[in-house]
Amino acid sequence: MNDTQWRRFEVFVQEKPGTPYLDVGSVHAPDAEMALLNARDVFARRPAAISMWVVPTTAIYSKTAQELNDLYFEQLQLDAQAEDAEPYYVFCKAKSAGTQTLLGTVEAISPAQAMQQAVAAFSGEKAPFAWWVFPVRYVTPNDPQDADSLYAPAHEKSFRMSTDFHTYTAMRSLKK
Amino acid sequence: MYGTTTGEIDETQEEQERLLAFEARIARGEKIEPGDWMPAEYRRQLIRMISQHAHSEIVGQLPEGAWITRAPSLRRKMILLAKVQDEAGHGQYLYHAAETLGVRREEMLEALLAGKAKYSNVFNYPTLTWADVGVIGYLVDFAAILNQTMLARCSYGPYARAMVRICAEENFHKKQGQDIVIRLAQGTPCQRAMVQDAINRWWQPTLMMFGPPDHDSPNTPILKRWGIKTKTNDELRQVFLDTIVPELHALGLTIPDPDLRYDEGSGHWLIGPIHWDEFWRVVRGEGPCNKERMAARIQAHEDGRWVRQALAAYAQKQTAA
Repeated sequence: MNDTQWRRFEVFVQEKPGTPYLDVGSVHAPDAEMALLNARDVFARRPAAISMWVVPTTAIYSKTAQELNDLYFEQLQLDAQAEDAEPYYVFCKAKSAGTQTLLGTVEAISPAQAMQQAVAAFSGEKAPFAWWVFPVRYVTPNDPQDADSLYAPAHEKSFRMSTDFHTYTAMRSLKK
Repeated sequence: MYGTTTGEIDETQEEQERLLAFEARIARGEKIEPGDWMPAEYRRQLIRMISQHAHSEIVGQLPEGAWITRAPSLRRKMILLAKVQDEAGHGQYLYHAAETLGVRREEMLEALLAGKAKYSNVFNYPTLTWADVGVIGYLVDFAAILNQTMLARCSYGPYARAMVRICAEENFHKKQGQDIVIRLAQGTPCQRAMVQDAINRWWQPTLMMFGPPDHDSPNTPILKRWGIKTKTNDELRQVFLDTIVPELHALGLTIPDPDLRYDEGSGHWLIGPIHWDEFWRVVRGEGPCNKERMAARIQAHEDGRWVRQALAAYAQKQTAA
């Protein structure tokens, strides 16, 4: 039975033009292309996306506020391996009940260094609850040309929406 | 330099401080995220609950899926297809939430297919008529929404976020079911009899969905203490009754319980005994459809094997190229 454990890909969705990408969950897939198709079926059955990214879960370097508190600065440095600097996306969960949200990018030679720079550059008045960083090159976005075929059909399927059923009105008139 | 005894005491003290800090975070209403420290028992309880919940969504496709080909109109067919597809999606959200706790999806799937995993008892009952599709949406999904709305506020971030997505979609499930029940209840005598029969059969299994009574629910106290549950089984069951009983009465339908009565003092609807002996029988695998459900699940897994193999082969070819 052991042919179901494909790689995990984290899925990020942009809901409207100009809004930041949000983490929505993950899918399993043998490759990024299939991960995007699975992500569309799992996370965009209703009008909820104009663009999607998938990122291998293993590429994401994650630290909660608690983990950062527990670490000494030097410990974070330890796993830094010198490579050429490259851009990293920075996500954080700013509210306790929130989700990972794109803040911007930093240039770094390692995930740990990217994390340090992210914390230095993007910490606001209130420290976020958790941070994610990953190299930009690990992102597979859907082809913008496919966006219509991926996301437009959901808009025509109003029968998937609870607002399409007027049961409250029906029950109110019955109870009178 | 340090004796073993001192080390052990330090460790226990540190553990104790960790636990106090963890419980203080929960008391502040903070969500626990993967990577944060958590007691082993918190992790164990969550894996148990989330995987059972995921299995229930997956097996839950079967009773209603049986009516897709027999839906009375194209519109009803599209609605039912969308609903069953949602259940598959919910199963995926939940397997992935469980994975953030360190368990693998494969382990969970294997446990389900090997018959070792539990899923909601309610899916081990047959769907005999079209009215069953309405009653499942209306009663079973409403019961699920009450439980899931509570869990959407739970202390574990990934579970809470999965629940928020699920609740929004379950609302569609409930309303499409309620819509069917309203139509049938206002229909011909034959349609009314059909929907009444469905309620008679689904009433007890739906009440059992909230789980055993509080005095017989050993996990509840720790789940409440750690903010996983905020209401007990009996509390949620009462919310269900106080909403659903007046609605069914307004529809001119009856509830198969001679002891049902409204208690003026408390403002609650009170019911007669729930058939817990039947509940435990179904849990043990002796329900009307346990074997059929598992057989269908295993068949679906086997039937999908060539698709999985093809996808894996394609991915491998792409990497090699």
